Amino acid sequence: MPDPTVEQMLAEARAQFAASLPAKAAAIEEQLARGAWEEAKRAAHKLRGSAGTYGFATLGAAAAEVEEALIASGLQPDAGAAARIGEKVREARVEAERIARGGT
Amino acid sequence: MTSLVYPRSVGSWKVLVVDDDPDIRRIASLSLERIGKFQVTVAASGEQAVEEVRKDRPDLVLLDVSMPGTDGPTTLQLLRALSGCERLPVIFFTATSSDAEVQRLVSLGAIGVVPKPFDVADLPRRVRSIAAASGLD
Repeated sequence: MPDPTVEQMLAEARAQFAASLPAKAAAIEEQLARGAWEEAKRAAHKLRGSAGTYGFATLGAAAAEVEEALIASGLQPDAGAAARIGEKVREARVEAERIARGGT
Repeated sequence: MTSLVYPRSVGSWKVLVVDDDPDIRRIASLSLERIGKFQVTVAASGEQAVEEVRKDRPDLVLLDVSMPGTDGPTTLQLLRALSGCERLPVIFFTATSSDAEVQRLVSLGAIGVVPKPFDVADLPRRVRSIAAASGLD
């Protein structure tokens, strides 16, 4: 990628995406808290694809775990499964906040 | 396999990116326009994609599989039903890229599949490679 303008634009897009991550993770937590399983699955699915594409593979993998756990529960997790999924989302939020603070 | 023949070289193609995620639309557009030198338009849903194709037919569509409402496979059917779009080349984006899923998507009429997450710097080359494998360059 020799064009410095392209690199600059990509860096800007990545920085803006990084800044948006805590809100995205918090939204999934909120969806889980009110039992909006389908919404949470869809949001986790989006984050899975976008985080990895923007270069945040750990967060993308965490989002994938959330999505797959929700699918495995048939979108009707019992209390134990919901607690485990909630813990995965909290881990994702911690990672999102770390990235937003400038982590890579 | 149906022959797909396009008059212009792949490099100058108009590509329509269809994804409900604005972050993916942004980064894919940036990659395809600035690195790949494609002309890019975007749509946020299957319905918007159909409208975009009606207004200004692209040479190729990059279409997300999993979208709320009209999903990618249904959008492909809608596009195929438009006059003159029976052979419009479509590449699916998907986060579920098992061999079986790729086979399923290709059997629906896509010329290829780009898994998500994708390498931003490499996306134009992947698109060209899929197009070339379909005899489009």
